[in-house]
Amino acid sequence: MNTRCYRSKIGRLPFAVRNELNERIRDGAQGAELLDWLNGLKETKRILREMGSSRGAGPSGPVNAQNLTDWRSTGYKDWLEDQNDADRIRRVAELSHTIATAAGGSAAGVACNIATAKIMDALQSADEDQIADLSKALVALRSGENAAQKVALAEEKNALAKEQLELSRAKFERDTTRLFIKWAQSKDALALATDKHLGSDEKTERLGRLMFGDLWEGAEDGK
Amino acid sequence: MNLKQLIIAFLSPRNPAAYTEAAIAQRLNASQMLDRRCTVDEVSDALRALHKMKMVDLQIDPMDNSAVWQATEEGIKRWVLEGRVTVV
Repeated sequence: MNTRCYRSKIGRLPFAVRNELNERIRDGAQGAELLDWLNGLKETKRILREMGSSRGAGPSGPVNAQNLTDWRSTGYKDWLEDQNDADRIRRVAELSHTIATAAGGSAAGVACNIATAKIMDALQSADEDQIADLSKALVALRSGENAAQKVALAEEKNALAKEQLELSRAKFERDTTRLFIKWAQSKDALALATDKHLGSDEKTERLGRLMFGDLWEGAEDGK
Repeated sequence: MNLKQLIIAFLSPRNPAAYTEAAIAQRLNASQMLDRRCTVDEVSDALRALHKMKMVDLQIDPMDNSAVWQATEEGIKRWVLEGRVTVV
């Protein structure tokens, strides 16, 4: 938690001014430029006046280069750490939400959002390594679940394909039986089937032509 | 920063986590980022103002009917534009 209290000239400035100063330092502003801006602010003048009067003296001198150097190694350093904290909080929030949903919470549900907040509080004190370990474990868990789902899906597809094959075979057998009944009553077909002078291939060819006509040729040509 | 900005700075990085008014007030006071301590009522008023601005969303905990608040996309956008100041 941010509970720091600064007693320097810059440290006593309002939060918004310190924040803007930190952003300017981060963005590479030079010392002289920063001091001109800082000492020109009415908030700075007021704080310097108050600091002087609290000592029973006149206003304190303006913020100088040494004050700025000190600030870089204290308040600015802390601010940079706080920026990292913001990123850390985002990561912990995402992780907490993942845990809450993995535990069965609806991603958009109120209970899940409340649980996310409570998990975040619990994870707040965890160090980076512990958070990374937890993330890895969750990723592995999800990968395992996805792999299992893929296997189940493939098995389901196989079962469907097998069922379809069995249906096709049953249809083929039924159709063939119907054809046999129909052509068994044909004298031409019967004569071909019982012709002792024809070999098996020849009989098949002639019966095929009789029964299927052009379709038989098409099937033979692989069309 | 004023109270409304700080509430956004608390809720936005934690989205979608949702907090009660009392929890928000407690965390803001612990951060010492306000010039003085805030009360739960002040936080409640600020949250309602932010709700009108569509920056936060009010939800009701089905377990005990308590009100909890979370940042909206609009609130998070504002937070980013204002430099991602974060109440740790």
